[in-house]
Amino acid sequence: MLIKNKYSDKVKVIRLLKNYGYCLGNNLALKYVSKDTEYILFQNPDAILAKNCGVDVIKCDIERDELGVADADCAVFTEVLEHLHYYRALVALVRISRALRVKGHLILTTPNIASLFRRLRLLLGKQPIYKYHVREYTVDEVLEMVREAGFDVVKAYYSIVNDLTHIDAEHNDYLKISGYRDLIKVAVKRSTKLNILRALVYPIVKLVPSLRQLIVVIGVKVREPSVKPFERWG
Amino acid sequence: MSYPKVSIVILIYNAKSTLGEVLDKAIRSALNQDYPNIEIIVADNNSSDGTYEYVN
Repeated sequence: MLIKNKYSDKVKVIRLLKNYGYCLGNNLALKYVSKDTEYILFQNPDAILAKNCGVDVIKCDIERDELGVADADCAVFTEVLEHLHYYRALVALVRISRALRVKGHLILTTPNIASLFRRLRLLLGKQPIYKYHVREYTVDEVLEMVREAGFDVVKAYYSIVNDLTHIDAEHNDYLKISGYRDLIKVAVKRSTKLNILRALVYPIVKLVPSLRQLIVVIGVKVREPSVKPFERWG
Repeated sequence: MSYPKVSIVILIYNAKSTLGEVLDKAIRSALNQDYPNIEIIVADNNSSDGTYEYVN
């Protein structure tokens, strides 16, 4: 039975023209949300699939709850850290570390507060942190927390993907962006301050990685975390 | 009492072959909320197994 037939106008079905992965795919889907929407929830059907296949699904507030496992192989913790209260960021990493086996891996991404774009915004008197983020970090801060949570850092680098894709474009133009030339085309077609700034900044961040927007850290758990976050942070 | 609109985004990829009726269950779950003012966006991440046709 077709879902759209069953639910008619209550469900809006859209198709993205490429597979953008989970995070960017969700961001693109937001372009289709009604203008009067005030709150957005992301529902992941994979969790329901996993449950049906006999995989334990843990729902928890990582700022408040332990995950309740201790032998996971890998934790993908992407674009979450910046949404946590900064008193709880280390707590969350410690909880992830506790959920992993020794030699288990952590993949973490988070925005770089020291990016050129953020610096320029601050110079212009604007709040540099994205409005839905609680706190953003420098790479040194992230590495310090990752190590404190019991990980050795395997690799840490700055990704350029957000410098290329965080722009204001028509949906179809947005989907075609794969390089600087496409970014220029968008900036010419839609000459907003944001797009012009992005286009000006891109060649610089291409040359100077530490000015890019995205921090990527891959860690391996080498010891149980010794820090006692609640005692430390109150 | 006013109810601000809540949009529930469900991102799917090759869900027809892997999720099947579970996808239906996920959408029903979102629809069956007591909260009256919701919309559901099902976004197909360019599936290759006919998922878009399945939901559309």
